[in-house]
Amino acid sequence: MKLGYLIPRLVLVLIVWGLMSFGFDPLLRWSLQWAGSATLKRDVQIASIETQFFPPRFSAQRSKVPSHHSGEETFVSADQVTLALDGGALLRRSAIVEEGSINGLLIVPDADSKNAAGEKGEQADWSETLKPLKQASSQWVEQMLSRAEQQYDLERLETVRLSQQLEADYKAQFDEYKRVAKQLHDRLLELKLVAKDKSGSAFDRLDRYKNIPAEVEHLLAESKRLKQQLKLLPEQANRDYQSLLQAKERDLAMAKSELVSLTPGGEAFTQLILGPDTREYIGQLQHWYQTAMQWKSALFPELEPTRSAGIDIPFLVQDPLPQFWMKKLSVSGLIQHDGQQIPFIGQMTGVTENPQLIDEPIRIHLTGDYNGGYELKGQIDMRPEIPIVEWTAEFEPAEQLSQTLVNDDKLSLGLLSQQRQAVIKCRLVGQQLEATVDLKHSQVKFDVAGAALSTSKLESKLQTDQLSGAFQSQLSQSLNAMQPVSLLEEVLSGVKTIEAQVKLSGELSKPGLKIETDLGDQLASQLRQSWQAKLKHQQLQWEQTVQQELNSRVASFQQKIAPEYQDLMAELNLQDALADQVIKQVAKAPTKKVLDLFLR
Amino acid sequence: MVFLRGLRLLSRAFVDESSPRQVAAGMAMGLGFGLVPSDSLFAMLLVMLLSALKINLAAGLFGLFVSAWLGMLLDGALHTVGEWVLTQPMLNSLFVWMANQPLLPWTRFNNTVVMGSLLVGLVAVYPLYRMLLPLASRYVPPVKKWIAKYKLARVLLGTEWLGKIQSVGAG
Repeated sequence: MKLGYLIPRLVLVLIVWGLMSFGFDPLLRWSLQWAGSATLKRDVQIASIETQFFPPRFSAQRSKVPSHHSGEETFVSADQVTLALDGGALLRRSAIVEEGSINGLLIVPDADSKNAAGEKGEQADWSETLKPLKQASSQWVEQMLSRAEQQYDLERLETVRLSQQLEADYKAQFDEYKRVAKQLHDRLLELKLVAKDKSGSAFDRLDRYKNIPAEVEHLLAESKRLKQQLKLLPEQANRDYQSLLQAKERDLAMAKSELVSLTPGGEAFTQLILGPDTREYIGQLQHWYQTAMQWKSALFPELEPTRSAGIDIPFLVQDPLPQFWMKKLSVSGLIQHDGQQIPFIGQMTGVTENPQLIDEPIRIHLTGDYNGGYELKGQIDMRPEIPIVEWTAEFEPAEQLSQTLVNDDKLSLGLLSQQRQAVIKCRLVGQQLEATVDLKHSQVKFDVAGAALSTSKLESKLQTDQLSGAFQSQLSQSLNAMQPVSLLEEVLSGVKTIEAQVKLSGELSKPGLKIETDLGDQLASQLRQSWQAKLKHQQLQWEQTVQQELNSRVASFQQKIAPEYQDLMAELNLQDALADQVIKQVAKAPTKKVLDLFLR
Repeated sequence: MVFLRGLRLLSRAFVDESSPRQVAAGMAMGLGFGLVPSDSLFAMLLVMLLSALKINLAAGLFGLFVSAWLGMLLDGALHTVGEWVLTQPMLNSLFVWMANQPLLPWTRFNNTVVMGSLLVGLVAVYPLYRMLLPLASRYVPPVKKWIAKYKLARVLLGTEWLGKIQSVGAG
């Protein structure tokens, strides 16, 4: 055989062998970096790759996908990725990983990855779902305290308001009567002086006296009219007295009913105590969901078919295999969350592009340490037309937890839990979410501090009100004894365990939230019972005091009216007598003088 | 000197198989086989075949290069041909058998573009050879003469070979 034929062919063979022996790994590394960078839109880096054909094995060292923006911060990195492939399947163009492992995995989710999930409409923003929870907590406290303040506001007593108004009205009325009576009296005295004046001739005096009788008659008529008006007053006073009595009854009824209705409902208690925990775990649920979506996007990229790639015609294969199947992948590493690096170790099975063929879902099992122990079991079933994602996460934080439930100028309420457990179960079918969060706190203790109904405003009002000393003292005593916060502290001291189930359901973009627990109702009931027990003790005294005060108000009203009435009537009677005197005097004196003049 | 001798032998080999027939055959095979997408095992087998035959390798590699670009323009037609062949019921059992064999799936024979390009490429080899032969007969001798003028060619090929080339060019 000619050397001229052999040599070029041998050279080609040598080139191919050299490429396979020394250039395959660098070429594969370059290809993976290029393909990874194109897919993830990030500069994928792989330090080195080692491959082995018999048996097929792949290993990559120090791989890194950086954060999109900076290019230096890590998004995902792994110290070592090892994949052991099935040789038989590889001959049939199927990459089946019998066993894989990723060690030293570090995941640092960044804003870009969240945005990427968001662009696909898979980001869940549940701030609207959680909003009512936050509002309800502070609303409840504010409502309770403002209603308590209103409760003890004396200006709300109708009797007090009405008696004050009637007093003012009667005072003005009597002042007017007195003014008119005085006017009449003064004029009568003036007329009396005129009648007594004997200066001048008899004709002059006759001339002076001629108008006096008529004016006196007019004054008498005016006096009579006043008397008639005064005689009607007792009837009016009686009506006003009845109104006062009715107002008193209404005030007493209101005092009874509103004291009872002051206690909050069970829902308000539930939201107050479980609100922060619910927000925390639902936040975690949201976070885990978005992480899962990122992984799903990475595992199942939406490839756009190109015309030039043609179509693969499927032929019946006796033992069909998927193109890619990760039978078992062990992972260990750290995931960054809220500035913390959370260690984890786990396993993933059934990752494939053709889940119908292997007929099993992707299963994930992770355990780790995040403020205590956690365990996550999940599965992503891509077999149905609408994928189903189900997972369960169990948390058991080792450290005790101190939470501030409310801290404002009205109330400061803290919760100390020695032990906590939470189990999150989530099922997502398409965009329909069904999730439950079972919460359990053991050995709990509530700290109610600096929380008080502000009595200073009411007490300063009491000082200025024209109320009896007994009433004031009893009201102050009631205020102190029936502080809502004192009662709250008393009731919460009996709570040692908190258990609840939070349910989330509906559209993923805006799921509905419901907290199911007996705790709120129990606490509300206990508070109500405690309140009623206090009421029984206080209410009798309260009612008696109010009644006494109202009786004294009515009696005082009567006492004030009666002497005024008597005085005014006496004054008017006195004026009648004075008028008679003036008329007699005027009638006698000038006539006698004129007769004497004519007889002389 | 050993290295230079190796290069000299390689260069001789290219020139030795440079009759117009060998050049036309190399170009025709390169153009035909180059239609097959490179990610198919068929492409590798055909390149090996191209290398194994006593044809002009340089012309064959040039043909592969040209055809790789040409193939992109013909994908639509190749898909149609491949689809027609792959959906023939009489061939179904053959394809099923192939699908169940090891290594054969790497050829991606079940892909319409791969199958179309393989068939069109194989069928096109002989007509291309017949078309390219007159062109090769006319243009190969002057090209050889032109190569012989260069100093590098003299060094690599040696004087005894240069004379041979010149005689072919003159003939």
